[in-house]
Amino acid sequence: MNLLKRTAKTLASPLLAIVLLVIILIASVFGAVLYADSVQALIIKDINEIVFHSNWFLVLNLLLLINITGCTIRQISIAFKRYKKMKAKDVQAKKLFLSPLFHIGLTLIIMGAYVDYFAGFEGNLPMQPGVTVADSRENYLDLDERPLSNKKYGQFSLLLKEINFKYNSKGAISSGLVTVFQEGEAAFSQVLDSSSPIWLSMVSISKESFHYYIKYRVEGKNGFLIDDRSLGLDTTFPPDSTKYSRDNFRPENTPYRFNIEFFPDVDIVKGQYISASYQLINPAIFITVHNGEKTVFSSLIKKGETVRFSDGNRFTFESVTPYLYLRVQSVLGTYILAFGFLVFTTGLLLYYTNNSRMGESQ
Amino acid sequence: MNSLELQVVLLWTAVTVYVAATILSLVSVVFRKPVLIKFMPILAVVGFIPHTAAIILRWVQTGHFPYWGKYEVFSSYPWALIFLYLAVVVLKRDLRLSGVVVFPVALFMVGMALTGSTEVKEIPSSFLTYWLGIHVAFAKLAFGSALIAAFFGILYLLKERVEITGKENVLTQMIKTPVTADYFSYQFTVFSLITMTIMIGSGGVWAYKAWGRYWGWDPVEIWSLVCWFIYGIILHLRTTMGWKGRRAAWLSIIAVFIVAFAFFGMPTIYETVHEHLEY
Repeated sequence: MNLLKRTAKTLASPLLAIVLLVIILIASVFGAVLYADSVQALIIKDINEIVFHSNWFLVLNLLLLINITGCTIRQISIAFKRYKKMKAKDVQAKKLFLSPLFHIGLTLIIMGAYVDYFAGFEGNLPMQPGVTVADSRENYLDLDERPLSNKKYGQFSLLLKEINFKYNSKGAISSGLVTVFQEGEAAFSQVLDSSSPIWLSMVSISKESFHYYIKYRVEGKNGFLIDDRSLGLDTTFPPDSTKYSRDNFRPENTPYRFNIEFFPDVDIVKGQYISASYQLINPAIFITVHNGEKTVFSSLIKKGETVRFSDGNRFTFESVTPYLYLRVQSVLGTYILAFGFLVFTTGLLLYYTNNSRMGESQ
Repeated sequence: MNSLELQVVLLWTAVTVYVAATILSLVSVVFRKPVLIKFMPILAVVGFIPHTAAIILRWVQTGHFPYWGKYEVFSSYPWALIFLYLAVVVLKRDLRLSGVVVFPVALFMVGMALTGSTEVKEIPSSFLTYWLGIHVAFAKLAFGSALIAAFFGILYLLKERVEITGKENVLTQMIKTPVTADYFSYQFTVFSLITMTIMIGSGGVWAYKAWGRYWGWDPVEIWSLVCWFIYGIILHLRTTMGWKGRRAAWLSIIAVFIVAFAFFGMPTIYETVHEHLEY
């Protein structure tokens, strides 16, 4: 019993809090050092796995959570005892709870991070206009299902009517009108972009990125297939307002290296290829093809066209498909964390404004 | 004269005033003329007006809060520093003494700004949110208060030595006891922790809006957390372990260098989403 009491006292001691904070601080500095390019070059493992997503770092934070929770419980019990002794109307009495308040906030922050880490869910859903996408495991790309995630699939289906795309001073902006189906019926429709997510209880669906997929085919002199693929062009950070580029793309098992510029609606102004509009009207690619050291082709190809490289092989620009990539996330952990942050900041502010001489030297 | 030329003229005007204030502080310390420190708030106001005008003009020119590129970052940081200085002087006249450190740092930073590119760069859409404005504003306040906390930490150490040697200087003359310096250092440490907390919180909201995650273990994020831990530990040591006076003073001095490294060193050394110092 004595040992149990002593362990509980140690786990809830302010000294342990300082020791843990210092260890986490040193670990964080070490973790940050790993991000240096020179260090990264020496490490094959995912850098986050070494420190921030490692088991020992999680245990450290768990100890900190236990410590702060213990401290908070002790503070609350002391505050209650003192509160009872003081007169209820005494303003000083209420101040007793300010320190436990920001400690509760801190506890919630760590708890929220844990809930997100262990019970969160995150996945990317690609959507093509006119095609219904169901919330099923096989439809997700880059799925991150956490160990304790209780995500049940089949909660919704989404139908993208069309993708609207425009360019202004803020950059490339794409959005789509999405209809949400729940239990087989159309529940509601909403314009989806990165700043206006769809909320389904504790799940948020937001636009992650917008891609153009260019489908092409390369055939040899005798008609044998050299390459046939859909090449994605991420439009998140377009290099300029009129084209989407992919340089030094090397299709596997081919001798080629491509530099591709894609124009959704090609036009020629002052000898320069530009997009007349940002909608998919008259798509074309300007492609430069290298075979080893030699440039075997460099010209504009419109959709549906076939051209011949100087090495005799043929290239066909078959089609282009726009895709919205959606991020589906469980946000419970984030909610707990955000609430904790609010409680912590408010508590800290109130604590120090009401105890302005707390840390003064005697 | 176009907007950019006017901005540079206004910034140079501010620099001139900050040079005068820096010289004034040097003269007051070296030649033992404490009376000169009284003029510091006046010079702060005189420099602050053209500095504010330059910041507003830049804001109008770019359409966003000045946080992109060396020119904007290093012109807005000293602005926040002078703003903080004026605010605290209004609240407590004794704190005008902190001008001794505020003006040279502000001068150095505006000088850095004038070496940066003044060209208006197109910035990623992820940087166009008010949350980023809040994040950046509180980062500036956090740095400013960390700097002043460290200054009073130094002053504590000097004043403590005076109690042994009996030799006063201009700075130590202006503070009654080491306890007062310690108290001011403590107050600014608290302020720094609170502003850092808001900086990290608003940064999380910005990151969530921009990349769909509130925390991504970006090197600058990690170092901001390190700074927050340091200020948390300083205050925790103070309230629970009684680390006041000399120990707290040294901690606040070390801490400000870590904050400066986290805010200005890290974005230039590491590949980070905090790419605001690339130009």
